[in-house]
Amino acid sequence: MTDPATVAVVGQPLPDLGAGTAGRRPGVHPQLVIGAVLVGLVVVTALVSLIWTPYDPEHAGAERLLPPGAEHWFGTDRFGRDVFSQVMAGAQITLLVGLVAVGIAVVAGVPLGVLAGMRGGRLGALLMRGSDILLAFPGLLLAIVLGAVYGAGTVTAMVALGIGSIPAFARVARSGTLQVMRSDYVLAARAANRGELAIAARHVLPNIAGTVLVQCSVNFAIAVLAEAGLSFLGLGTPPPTPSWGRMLQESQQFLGVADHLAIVPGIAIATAVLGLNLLGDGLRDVLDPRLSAVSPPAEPRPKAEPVETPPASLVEPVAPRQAQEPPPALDLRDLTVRTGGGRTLLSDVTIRVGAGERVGLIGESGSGKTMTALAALGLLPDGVAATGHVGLAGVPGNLLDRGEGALARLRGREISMVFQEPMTALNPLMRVGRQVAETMTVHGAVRRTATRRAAELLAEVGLPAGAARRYPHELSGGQRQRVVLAMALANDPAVLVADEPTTALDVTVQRQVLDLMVRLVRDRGAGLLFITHDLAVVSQVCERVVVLLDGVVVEEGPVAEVFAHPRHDYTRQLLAASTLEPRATPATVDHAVAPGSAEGSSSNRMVNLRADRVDQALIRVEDVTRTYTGRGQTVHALRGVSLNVREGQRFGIVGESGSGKSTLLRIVAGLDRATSGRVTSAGVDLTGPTPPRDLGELRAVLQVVFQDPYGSLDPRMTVGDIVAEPLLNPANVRDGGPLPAYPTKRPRFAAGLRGGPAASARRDAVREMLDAVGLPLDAADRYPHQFSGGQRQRIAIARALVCRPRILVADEPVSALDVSVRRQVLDLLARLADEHALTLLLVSHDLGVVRHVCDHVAVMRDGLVVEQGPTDQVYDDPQHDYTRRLREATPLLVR
Amino acid sequence: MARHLASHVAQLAATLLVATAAIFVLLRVLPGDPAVVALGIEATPGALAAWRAEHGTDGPLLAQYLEWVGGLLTGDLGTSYVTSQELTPLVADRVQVTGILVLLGMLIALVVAVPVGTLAAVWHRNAGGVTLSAVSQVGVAVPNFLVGVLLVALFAVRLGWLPSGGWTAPVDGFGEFWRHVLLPAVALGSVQAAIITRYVRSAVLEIMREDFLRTARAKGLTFTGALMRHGLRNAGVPIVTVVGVQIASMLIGAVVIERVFAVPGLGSLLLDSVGNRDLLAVQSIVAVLVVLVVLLNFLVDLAYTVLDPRLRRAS
Repeated sequence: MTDPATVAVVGQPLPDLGAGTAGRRPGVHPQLVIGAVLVGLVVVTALVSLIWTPYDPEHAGAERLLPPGAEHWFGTDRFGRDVFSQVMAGAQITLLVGLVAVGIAVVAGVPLGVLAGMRGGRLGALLMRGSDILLAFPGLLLAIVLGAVYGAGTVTAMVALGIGSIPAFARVARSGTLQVMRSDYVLAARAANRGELAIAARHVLPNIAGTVLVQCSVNFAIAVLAEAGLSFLGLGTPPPTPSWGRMLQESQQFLGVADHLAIVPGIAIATAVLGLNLLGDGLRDVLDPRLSAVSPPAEPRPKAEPVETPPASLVEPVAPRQAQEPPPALDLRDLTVRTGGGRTLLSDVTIRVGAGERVGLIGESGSGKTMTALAALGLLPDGVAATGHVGLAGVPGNLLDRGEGALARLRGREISMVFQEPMTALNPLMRVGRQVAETMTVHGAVRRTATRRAAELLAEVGLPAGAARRYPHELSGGQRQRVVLAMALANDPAVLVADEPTTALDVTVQRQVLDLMVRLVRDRGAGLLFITHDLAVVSQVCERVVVLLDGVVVEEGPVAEVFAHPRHDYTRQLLAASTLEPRATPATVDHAVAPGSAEGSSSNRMVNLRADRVDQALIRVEDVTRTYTGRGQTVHALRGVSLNVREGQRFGIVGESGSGKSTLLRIVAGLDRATSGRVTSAGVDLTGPTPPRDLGELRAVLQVVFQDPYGSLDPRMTVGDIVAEPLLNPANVRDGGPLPAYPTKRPRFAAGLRGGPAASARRDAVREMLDAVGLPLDAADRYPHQFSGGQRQRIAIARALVCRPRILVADEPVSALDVSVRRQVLDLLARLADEHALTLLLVSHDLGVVRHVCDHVAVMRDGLVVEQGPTDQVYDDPQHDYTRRLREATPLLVR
Repeated sequence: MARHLASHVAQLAATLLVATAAIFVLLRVLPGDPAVVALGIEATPGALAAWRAEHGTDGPLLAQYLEWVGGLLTGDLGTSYVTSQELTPLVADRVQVTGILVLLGMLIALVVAVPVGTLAAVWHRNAGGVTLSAVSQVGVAVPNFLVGVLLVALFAVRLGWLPSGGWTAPVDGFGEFWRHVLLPAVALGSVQAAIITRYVRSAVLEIMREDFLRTARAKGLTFTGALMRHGLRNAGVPIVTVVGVQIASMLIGAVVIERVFAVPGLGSLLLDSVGNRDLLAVQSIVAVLVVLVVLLNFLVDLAYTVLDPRLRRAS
């Protein structure tokens, strides 16, 4: 069932399902089972009828038009043939036509779709246009036409229905392929020097197999129906071969006399189609990654921190402050939230937000902070229930006892909410002015007044005139969040709940939105419950702070006090992880590594290469531009960027979204091409169309770690296979690489045939690497979904380093991770960079991250480098105005 | 917007050109000389030549194709090889019949499917929703001609309330028209209702999970209010697609229903022409059907841009 019950189990650790099950949920899926049973029934019937039927289905031996009885279970037809035997034998032709038709469609449609998806461009477009034209000829029409030309019959029906189904398969295969090709794990495979065929075989086909299978089942059902229709029209299998459709057609003249002649084959057809459809739906549910995407296991807390819920004694008692305390605007008492399955998401959470008070609620992913907000507004998802007390000033009683209608009257008027994701929080089909006005009309305002007030509010949150007439997609993320804020404050509520309101925004925009929110809340004297993972933001926005860990409040108090003297271990640890101190003075920037020494048994080629280039830039970017054109518009992602990265340097690139930093990284990594300018990475000229051999050379020495640890690992491969993938291309395995036992005399073709080094050597290399990134050895046999975000990023780092590259390029490697894990991963990167004598190129939106890891930084904005130099210098004495703004906007943890 | 429209129209024209060429090759070129098909292999060369001259099949194939397409554009479908009838008035008459049947069937389907599918989604956790979903699942599996046969058995044969088949045009008597159109339209529409119910259900379920629906509730709408005001229009985008695809499939599927109820629609004409090996008629009817299907897809594309402001600009 595609129901949000799965949403309710957010945060539930996935049971260990063992090898071979990627994202499968345990338990029996009812639709799948019923479908399989029905389809099995039809298949068995067809098979049995090949060797046995009660009577000869084509022999007219009995009395005509007998009703169902003991002798003839389903009666006889107008010639005296046994209906039961005919229905049994009819299953044969049904299955045969369906099977062949689907077979034709799969064999023709899937490669077409995959090709169109992988190649894109003109060829892809042409293939899909062709398939679209075929869409104008439905199978039934095609069968009639082909029947007219070549004569009707079984073969014609099969071929026509098969051809008619090709577009469906081509579309499914193409959209699946496009999705896979956009994934970071394909980019990672490219970066690992894998060819197109290998990518198609190892990543694309396994990942689209599920949807193709679903389509098979659906189209099989369509073919069964169409075959029956054709037989009914007399254009299917000719008599005397039994066929369900023809039986139905022949029954027509005996309606009222022998209705069973219509009903029996009708039930047979419906059974087959129902079974196939149920099977398809069941498969879709079971294979749908969204439904099986139970959120990943929680990050393992460091050893200093007890992972289990701290005992009650550890929970800091709330200081009695009733005397000077005004009555709370929002009063959450002993709030406990449980899923239908009995899992506790929040236990006994007590939070008070005074009138005009700003309270921060801090927690990492899975801590239950969003559930707290939703419970306060009565917006908990289906299947999740709250107990305890939710009180609002001026509203008698417990909000939890109110029905949806009574709650709705309070929401948006007394208490309102700002959500995390501005891109999806607004109705895409409605102008934003109307959406703001609706907040007021819902609570009784006159339409015209509301419209005028909405325009005022939009102006108040700093949107340009005329914004009310815009649709959400015409606004930027920051602007949309302002709209949501305007909506939330339209009725001057007593309490505003903001759930990570600026997490999706750039720092400079975050700063503006935060300032605005604080000002508006202060002006209105409203209470603010501000939910975030970012301690620095809390220190700037809030007066009081509540720390949530695994659904339990572990500490609370005034921000200054808690941050200066944290009493709970977890708070201490969060604070420590949130403060990224600048990198210690780099050893020697120029010659961090003496040529040939650190890499041990480097080959002569490498020593020479290094000796030649030791003083030169390892990565040289000269006046590079990158322009994307498409759909009538042009985007200038890079507008003339120049920089040099020297051997052993740790080079950071900082910029906000749209600055071009990721584009630059891809060009340097050979994953994209510059429109103009010169790029040299590790001695490989990447300017213009690069010869594939040179590109291979680059990828043997340059590896990439991507931003999203959830998207960059193929969900259907084991961790061992993922880490080993770069080793499969022998070109990547250099002398002095990770496989010393590998016999160098071995003929090249053998290496090619075996797909690179021997499997045992690969296993050893993988094990060594997993150990180096701090993962358990048994990790190799498990699947990515069994790991937390931080662990997945470790896997991605292991994959990048398994071939011992000289350059490691990391694109926002920690932006998707929790604070406490962020630091661990950064420190791991830094340590490995030292141990492996890596040149590191790190891209981040976070100045603090770059300052923590890098010794050199380039600041990018709108496709240009506005400033670059040693990190300390740029950070402490920014020359460019933008760098200054960026620095000022970056929230600092005030302790 | 104008540019968007222009590119759509260009695509439409290209699709129609290729599709008609395919039909021409399939039905005019591949079967061989239509004169031989019409007169038999024992016909004298003279008779064949005379036949070719009469039916205009003696020129080069490209010229014949262009003449045929030109005829399609100007509404001249040619003359039947077999009956020597003008095809245009015949086809026009039959298109009307099939059109009425299909549109009425779709109307019945939508009237049932939109509320039922929405309820099935809203109630998806309780018995009512599961039952609605199961019934629609079974409904999808039933072929429409079975429904037709059963309707005839019940209402025409047993109860005798309605005729078992035949047709009366609305202009020839409105009451009689309804008596004749009701059963085939219900047969055609009921299965569609089941199919569309399933799409509506999944579209509404999808919408129920959207963030903006939660936003709407956060500003004071009840769940039902939020679904009605914000949900249904958003669910409308995928539903319009399905309606377009299903009308196209009903145009073809009507062939079978017309056979059940002996309705003189386009499908019956197509089958009769196939039976007579009247290839020019088949060619023209198929062309008309394909043009209708392609136009429907085109209209669906346009409907998107009306429903979804994100698609109004090329950006």
